[in-house]
Amino acid sequence: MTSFEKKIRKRIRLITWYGVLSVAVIGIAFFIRMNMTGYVLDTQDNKLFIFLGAFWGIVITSVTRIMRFRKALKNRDTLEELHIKETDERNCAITLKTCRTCVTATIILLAVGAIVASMFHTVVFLTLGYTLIVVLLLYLGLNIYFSKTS
Amino acid sequence: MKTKIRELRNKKRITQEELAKAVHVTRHTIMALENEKYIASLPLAYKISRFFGLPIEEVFDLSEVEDIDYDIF
Repeated sequence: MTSFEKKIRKRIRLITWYGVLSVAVIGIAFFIRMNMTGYVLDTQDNKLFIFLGAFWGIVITSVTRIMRFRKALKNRDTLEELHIKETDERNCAITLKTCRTCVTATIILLAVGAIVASMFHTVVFLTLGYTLIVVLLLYLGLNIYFSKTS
Repeated sequence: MKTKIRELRNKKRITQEELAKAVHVTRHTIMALENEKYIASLPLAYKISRFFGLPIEEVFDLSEVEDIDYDIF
């Protein structure tokens, strides 16, 4: 269990850093945007609400996850429960199946979307097409990597 | 895959939760194994068999092992 404890402590550190860095980046972006509008809070400016949404989203998810992991570190039973939940082979199989189905669906939807968009809008077609190429390259790259390492 | 887990568990008078804890899986996994909805991996099959003190082939019915379909979806 100690290796799992170490893993959880590492996760807490990573989430903290991720949260702090993300909030800092959003804060900087917010002030740059405010600077552009002369420090006047424009309620019609959609980008400000996007920043606010991202800010609270990251803060809430980071704090919730940190609290859950800290609670697990304090209690042996909760830690064991979390360990079982994370290492349970059926849960891992479900995650794998979900990811595989999701990737297949994404590729199909991107391809169909690109074909449909090609009839109406060139920019949308190119965006979907390039995204599809990137997803396919990533898929092939990872497939080769895992074929060699597994 | 057919298993004798439920039968053996009832004989030993233990709950799914207790068996799950003993072999380090969730109760849902035990439930799925008992209902033949999930096929255990070799390490899990070994752990369960060892828990009951029986060989794997006495807990799991391996006669259908060649018909297992590892579907994509």
